[in-house]
Amino acid sequence: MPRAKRSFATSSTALCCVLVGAASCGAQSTAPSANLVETPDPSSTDGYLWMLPRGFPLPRTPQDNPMSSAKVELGRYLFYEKRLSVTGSYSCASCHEQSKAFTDGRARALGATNQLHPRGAMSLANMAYGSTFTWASSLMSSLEKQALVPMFGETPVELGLSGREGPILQALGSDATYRQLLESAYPQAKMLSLAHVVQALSSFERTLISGQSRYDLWATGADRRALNDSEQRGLKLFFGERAECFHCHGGFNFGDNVNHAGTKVREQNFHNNGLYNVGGTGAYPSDNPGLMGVTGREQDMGRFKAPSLRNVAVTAPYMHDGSMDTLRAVVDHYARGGTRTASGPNAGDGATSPLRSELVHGFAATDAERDDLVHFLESLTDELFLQNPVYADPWPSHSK
Amino acid sequence: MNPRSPIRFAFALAAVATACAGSNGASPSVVATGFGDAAAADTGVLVPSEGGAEIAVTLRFRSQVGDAPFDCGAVFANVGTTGARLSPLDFRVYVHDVRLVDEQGVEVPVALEQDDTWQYRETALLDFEDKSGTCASGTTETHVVLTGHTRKGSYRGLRFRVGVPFDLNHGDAATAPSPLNLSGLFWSWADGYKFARMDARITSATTNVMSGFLMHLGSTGCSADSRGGIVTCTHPNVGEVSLSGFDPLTQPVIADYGALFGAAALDRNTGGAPGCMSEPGDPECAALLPNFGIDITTGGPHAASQTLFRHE
Repeated sequence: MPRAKRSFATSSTALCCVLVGAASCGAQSTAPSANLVETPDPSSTDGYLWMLPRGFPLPRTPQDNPMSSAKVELGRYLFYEKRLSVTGSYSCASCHEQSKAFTDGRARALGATNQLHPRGAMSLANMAYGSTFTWASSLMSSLEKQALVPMFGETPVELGLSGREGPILQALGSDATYRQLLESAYPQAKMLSLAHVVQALSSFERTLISGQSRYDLWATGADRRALNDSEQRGLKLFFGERAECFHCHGGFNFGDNVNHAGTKVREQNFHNNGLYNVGGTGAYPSDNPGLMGVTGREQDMGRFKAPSLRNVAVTAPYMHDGSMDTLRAVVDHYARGGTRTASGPNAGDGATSPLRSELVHGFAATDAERDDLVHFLESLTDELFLQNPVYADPWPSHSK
Repeated sequence: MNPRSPIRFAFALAAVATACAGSNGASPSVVATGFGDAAAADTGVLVPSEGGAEIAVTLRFRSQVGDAPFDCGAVFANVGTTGARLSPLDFRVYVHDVRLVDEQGVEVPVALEQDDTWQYRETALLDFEDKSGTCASGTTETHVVLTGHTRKGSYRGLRFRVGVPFDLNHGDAATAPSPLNLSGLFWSWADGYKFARMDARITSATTNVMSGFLMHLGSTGCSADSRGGIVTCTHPNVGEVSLSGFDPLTQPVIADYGALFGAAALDRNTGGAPGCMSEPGDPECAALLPNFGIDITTGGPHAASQTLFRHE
């Protein structure tokens, strides 16, 4: 449950970190603050140590892709590798910028060939704990599977590698930097393979863990003054039964698709939040049918994953199609119980959609209370995560 | 058993195509390129041994657009119900479960040679494009002859499935063996493969507007179990081909690109994806999937509607 009791740390180090800023605290992987717990990964091949925020569980990794520091480092270079695209000028990081919690600030992502994606780039924070990836697919159950979509997808083209990876892998594999990285990560390997790329990218992504926001300082007891009065009122609304945001955005990751070493049953949840109701049938715009696009089931129309709200203040615009610019607009949407589109091809009132989730039914909230909710959401920003140099572009030639 | 496509194809070479055809026209993509000692290996993993002698099986395929040879450098006029012009972008089809039919009508499975390139277990890729001309998404290598062995006999028919078998379709594409590691045929969003990729560039005969028509055949409506492994698909979209009244060991099978597209209005997208991405509700799919030998309602095999393959 969202307000699970966690062990409280009262050290002043964490507080210092927040007050002084990230620069003086250094990389979390090398200089753990008191709010991070060094946790050995039992399945790692090289004694990999997770730096887990207090209260965060041990991530589960696939049996055939255990963590190793060398793989993570190879993955970091590949994540920022622009040669890994049809144009040679696009990388994973083109749509997933660290300063925006690995989103891109666009309503809909733009691929290497300037093709607009129907949906927005999702934050990569805490993907190590995901049970399903992308906005709405019951099939994307691992980062390894998901990685193939941006690389090889053609409708839309993202990195545009379909049928082209051979020469690219060959070129990267003969690059001195990658030869060294590959030798460390895969000592037996003779050449860089697609499987190496997928595993290393996934390993790097699993390290993108965010749990040092002001909310965390407050929740772990490290600093009971970390949230101001408005934020605390917003928190009560968020976790209360009036706004009941927590039903979908609950737990340590503010989401409801959680997977870690302790979960035994795989949960996958998708919801229709009443964003559209085209023609009164509950339909969504045809380029974004949600989960139905994968399952083909009518009842899955408009069902999307409830994304984690960590760092949500820096991941605007909101919703799968970026149709909302501000957190206030999002709060208003849920308070109304759906969005009404007055005219155009998508006209309809989501609040009366026959497919809308029972959990989205609107709630009464004053202007001030809605502001409180927004303030609380803003307290979920983890500045250390946004600036942590271990996640940054390792290529010196990539000038900012 | 399938009659020739009623559509007539005026074989027209556009100016652009003429330039390309110079290098390509002389060598139509009906000859398998060498891929090592294809005839050497003999794994015999799948053949039922019933005591009889075994024979080598060579099944030749010839790609055409109507009566004209398929050619990545050509523009084919008057295709589909609206008479559009078509430039092929790709022409690759996975097949599996190859069976010969003897004179008594009994099916005898063919064990595919395990050639480490085009044929893996009971699955093979037929690759009719050679990356020339407009076929940019493909590979220069082609594969138009299936090889294997089976029980000695006298055969009058050929049957096979279009697609990748369920267990191979949902394996790990990043580590899969050839020919299941060709990323142009990955269908990653669906955690599977494009069973057939027959994309085309279409020019409307009436408006001259150009558009893409993407034909990606694959399983849809798939769901996963608690460990993330796919267990069922509401529409497997695996086709059944059944050709009879010929000797499959000596007579070629024609893969007719034009027959597949004959039933569709290629210059119009009346719903869903531009072309057919195997969505059951897509009107273009309703016209095209039956031609792969698929029942559009169930996604199950339905040989009677199949038109892509015929014998000479």
